[in-house]
Amino acid sequence: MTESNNKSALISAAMGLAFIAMGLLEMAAVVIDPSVEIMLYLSSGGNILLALVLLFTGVVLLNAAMRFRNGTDGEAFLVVGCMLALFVGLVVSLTLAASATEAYLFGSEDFVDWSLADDFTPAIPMMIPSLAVLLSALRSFRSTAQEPAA
Amino acid sequence: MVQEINIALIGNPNVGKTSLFNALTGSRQHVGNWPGVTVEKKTGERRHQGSTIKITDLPGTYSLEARSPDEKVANAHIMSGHPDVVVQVVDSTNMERNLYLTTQLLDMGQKVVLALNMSDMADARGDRLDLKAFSKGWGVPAVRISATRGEGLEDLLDTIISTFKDRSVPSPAVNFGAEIEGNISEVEAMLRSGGAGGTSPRWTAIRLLEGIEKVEEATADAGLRAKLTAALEGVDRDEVEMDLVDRRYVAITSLLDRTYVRGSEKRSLSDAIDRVVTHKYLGLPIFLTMMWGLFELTFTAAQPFVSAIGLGFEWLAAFVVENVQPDWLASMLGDGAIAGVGSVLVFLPNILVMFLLIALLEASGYLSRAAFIMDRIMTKMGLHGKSFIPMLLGLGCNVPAIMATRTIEDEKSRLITILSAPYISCSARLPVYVLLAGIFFPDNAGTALFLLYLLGIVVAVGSALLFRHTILKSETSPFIMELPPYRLPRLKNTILQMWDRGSMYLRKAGTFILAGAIIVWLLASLPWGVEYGSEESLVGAIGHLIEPFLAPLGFDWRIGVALVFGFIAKEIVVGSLGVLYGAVEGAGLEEAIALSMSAPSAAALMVFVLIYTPCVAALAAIRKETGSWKWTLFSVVYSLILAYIAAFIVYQVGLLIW
Amino acid sequence: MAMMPLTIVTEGGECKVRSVRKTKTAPRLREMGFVDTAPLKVLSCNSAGVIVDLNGVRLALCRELASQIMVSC
Repeated sequence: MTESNNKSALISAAMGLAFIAMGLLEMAAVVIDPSVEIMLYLSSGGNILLALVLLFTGVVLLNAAMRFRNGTDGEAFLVVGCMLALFVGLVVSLTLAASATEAYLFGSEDFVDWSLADDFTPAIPMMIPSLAVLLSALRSFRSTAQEPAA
Repeated sequence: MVQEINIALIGNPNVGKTSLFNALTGSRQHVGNWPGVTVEKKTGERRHQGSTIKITDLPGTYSLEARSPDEKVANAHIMSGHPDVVVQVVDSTNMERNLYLTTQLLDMGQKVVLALNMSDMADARGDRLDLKAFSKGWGVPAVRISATRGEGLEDLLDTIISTFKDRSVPSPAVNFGAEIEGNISEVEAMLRSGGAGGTSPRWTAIRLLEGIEKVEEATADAGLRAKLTAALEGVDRDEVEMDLVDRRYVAITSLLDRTYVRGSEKRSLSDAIDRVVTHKYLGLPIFLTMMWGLFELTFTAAQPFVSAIGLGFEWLAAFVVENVQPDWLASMLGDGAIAGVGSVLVFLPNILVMFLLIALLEASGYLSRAAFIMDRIMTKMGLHGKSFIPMLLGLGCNVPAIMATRTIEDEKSRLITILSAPYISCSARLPVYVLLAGIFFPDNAGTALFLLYLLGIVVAVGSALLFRHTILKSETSPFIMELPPYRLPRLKNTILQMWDRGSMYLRKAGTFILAGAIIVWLLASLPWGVEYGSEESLVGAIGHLIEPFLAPLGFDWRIGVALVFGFIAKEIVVGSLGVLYGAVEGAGLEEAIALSMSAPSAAALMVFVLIYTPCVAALAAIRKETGSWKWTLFSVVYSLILAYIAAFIVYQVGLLIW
Repeated sequence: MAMMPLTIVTEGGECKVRSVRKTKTAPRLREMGFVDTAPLKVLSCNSAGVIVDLNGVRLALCRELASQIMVSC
């Protein structure tokens, strides 16, 4: 089934590269002056750990792409890669929500200058394609996740 | 007349025993993936058909050989408590290993009812069981249930009652072969004639032959001891033990071959994920990513709630000061109780978020894999793979962390973990760091915090290695762990698990800290009429007493007093400083501290607070889990000395640099 | 049939347990089901340890333990 493998490899590679790019941007944001407006939207202000996590997610996805080419276990790595992507996106989204609450609801002193762009990163919208790819990758496993147990 | 039936609930870890217990007794308990979450003996009741069934929930065990504390507890309860019926909860998808325990129960002469739990999962997998033939096989009635779905429970209760009424005596399921059975009979006869062997001479005989029970433990009668020792001589314990295990499994296989067909295994997704998650190179970074998420969420996502609570308490304190008479009561409530407790509760959201996330990871099954991945590293650090969950919990509060060490079966590893865990900086110490770092290292506050936590880890690991190679010399016990299938966590259970641990933190606040805060207030207000928290008050007296000892560390009497109070609970330290400087927390206190301390002494203080003795609540937990005052005391002394030395070094070096 | 330590079996390999080398943890291993003729499938094997399917149960073992279990494939 090399046709579908090639397709999967391409999708994995695309997503992988996207995350590598986001990771690099986040790294760059550490040094580049954040008043450059576009940077504000492309990164969350230079969080090194976030950058590493994004890079690593990219690595897992690229790994999946490679394995689709080899024919060894690509699905597994794609599934985990997508789960990581969702996880990262979720964490960043919740952080954003918390900051927004602090700024708008409480008017906390630390958050006076805060704006939505401060915590926004492309990792958040990336959750949507990640979810889509994950669901289709899961279908390749004949049985789905176990029933909730004790 | 109401009939009373005493039953004990037993079973392997992770079979859903707790769910069944909850379902039967209606009490609020939680379900954890980790063996040992329910080590306490829980009891409950259920009325059914005019009988009162008293249920004791025993710890999850694989066997009753009594090698680990859990097994000893279970074994002891059955031997001494002699329940009317033992209900063994079985994981229907894993019959072979579960039935091992059953054979032992039958050797003990106990009436057993098998509750075949997770029967829905077994059905989904395509398993087929001839229930009647199975029950007849060993003479043990079996009932299919699903505790989480509440199915089969009525049936189970009926069967318990009918088994209770059944007069027939249970017989052993396994024949160990002529030679061993002969030995057993011989020893058994000796025990019976000597009036020893408790409720089950056969079981005691088996344990004597295996060498698990010593002759001295079986009887005090010297004559009997001599006879037994003579009979046991020449018995190759290892041979016997191997034979016993083999024969048990032969019997199990024979029963299952006749009555059971396993469905096809469909865990391909779970296994696939495992291949990635335990990958040689990717496994650890995946784990680190999960930890990153955990911390991000704990510190940022909980923030709004923290602010909300902070505001709430500020308002409450102001209200009390304005409206409560007389003045001293207002002061005690406002300055003492509310300020003290408030400083703790403010952290509750962080703690709850952290515990919630850990519970989610636990319930999903990921944490077992994480323990496996971490095992190699942890072993090199003198700890055990299973030590890392307690260490993780220690970041929130040391009390549940110390409790969580119960899952570590190896006594020495467990002790080492208990003694090293407190150096992982708990949330209570955070206010001190934040305060001091904010004043003296404003531009590098984050880095300072990071370094402190790192130091905590270094000290914990260092101590673990030290203990491992000196006073608690031992090899780390090898890691073996069951990996349950990945599953979507059930919300209710996860929240209960979070609450169980979080409530330990709350209880600490409600008791120790409240009491501590009031004591601080008291000592600061006496003798009457003295200025609150000044040198003339009792706290001043205490402070001046210890000041000479702390001078080499750069601490003055106020710091000394705050540290003493920190013994009660670390959260009190900042509050005490507020009282002692006569300043309100916030800008006022910061100014006061900036004036009376220096950067080196601040650094030394942070280090001291990181390392010195665990708070009273944690010590109580240590005492409870180790069961010994010796180790508790050791913990206090060791940490005080270590803290003193470390703070001393930091201060002196700091003086040179700044 | 030839016996070998569990650590040598390749991933995906199916075999039967034969014996466990005599050590302190041997009894515990046997109780968990590592007895003669028990069917075993190796799911993963690397420097961290081995994950096996024993009678339908997934068990993770550190390398040291795995090397004490003798199997035949």
